[in-house]
Amino acid sequence: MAVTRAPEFIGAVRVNDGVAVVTLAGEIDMHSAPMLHGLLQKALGVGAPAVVIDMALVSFCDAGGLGQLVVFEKALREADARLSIRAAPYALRRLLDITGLTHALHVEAATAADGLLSVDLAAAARLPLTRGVLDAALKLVVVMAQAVMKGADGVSITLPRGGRLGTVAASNDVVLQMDHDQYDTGQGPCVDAATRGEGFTSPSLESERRWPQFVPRARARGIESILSRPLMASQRPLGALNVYSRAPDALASHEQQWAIQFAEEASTVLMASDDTSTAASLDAEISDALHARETIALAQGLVMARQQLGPEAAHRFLVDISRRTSKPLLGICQAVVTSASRPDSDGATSPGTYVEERA
Amino acid sequence: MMPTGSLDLARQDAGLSQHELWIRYFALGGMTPALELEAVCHGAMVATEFDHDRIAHALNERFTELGRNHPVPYSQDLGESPSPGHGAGPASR
Repeated sequence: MAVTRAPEFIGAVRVNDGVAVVTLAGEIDMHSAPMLHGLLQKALGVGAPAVVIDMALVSFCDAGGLGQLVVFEKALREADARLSIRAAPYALRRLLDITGLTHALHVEAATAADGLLSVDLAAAARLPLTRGVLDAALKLVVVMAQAVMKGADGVSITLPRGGRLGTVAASNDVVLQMDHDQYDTGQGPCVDAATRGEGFTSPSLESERRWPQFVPRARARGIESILSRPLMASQRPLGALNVYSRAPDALASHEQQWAIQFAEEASTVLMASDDTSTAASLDAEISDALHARETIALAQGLVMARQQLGPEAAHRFLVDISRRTSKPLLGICQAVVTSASRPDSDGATSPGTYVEERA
Repeated sequence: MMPTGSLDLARQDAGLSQHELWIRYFALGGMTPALELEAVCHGAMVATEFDHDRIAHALNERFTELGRNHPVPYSQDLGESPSPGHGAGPASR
């Protein structure tokens, strides 16, 4: 039996009836990652047809750890061996569920011995995913996608937030910059995949003609090939999973298959989080409403100063104008704010008079 | 005071969902959470005059969009004491 020990992590590999059993305990994070890697390599070296990872005593597992498990499962499958994960604690199961890995990693169902745990799980499955949990889950998808795809130098996920496209998860800064180059220019495979709902691949940016403003920026950042897959919910495009590589022709059909699979996983995560179409439009609605509030508050402040009124009275003053002119309050307030920022505006002009002249 | 539930009747008349009304009210600076706004509209909770006027205005702006006048009364129309702000602007000129 090989035993590896670190301050907050311990693991062992033993062979039992032809099955390699990896027992892990403690925290799987960046400090214990090399040890986990060593243990998994040992288990792979056994050449057993089945490997079981016992995670009952794992208190924490970060995205890198999960990424290692995904890579390990793939290596085993290529060697015609099978992985299963046993006794994963509640938090880890939840993480695996959210990221869609429960099936891929063959996580064994909770046994009668942990009946209490199953009750908790059932309750947890009904919990709505908050944006924080959702973003963490998407971040995991990104990290794992990059770990699995050989040619990938970066992976990201694009979603509409606040009415415009944004990157919610990125495996590194270059990828993040690449995404922003596309949002800025309104061009690129990620923008097209997210808005049109089709996959876009550019095997070599050198000969790419589709996105003339974006491509030079990408090449300046050292990127030579790109692959974007749409995230779909109820047949509607929702966002995109983007894979970038520094080498041309690095994203072959094998990588494309993985990208499709990870895009599906990310879509599943999104659909589990809520009715995403509602969530996306709600985001835009709230953002617009906040913007309106800001303008109204600003106009209210100007009226308070000019008319020597309290906040409620200033608000009523503006509502009165809106009411009498049958113009929306927001429009009235925009006019007040604009009049205040005009260089020829003098403090003596009543905003009401100004608005009425213009209305 | 308005008859109980008349704000909600106005909401239905304006063709707004509870959520749509709340977004409009929120955009006008309203601070009441969506569920409580629903209670206010149904008359299960009482809004301050100021808040009532925000709800009324959100509904009336919708009625204006629909080409109708401002059918929802404001607190001053309901026989409440006039607000200190009222009359200070061009409204009274």
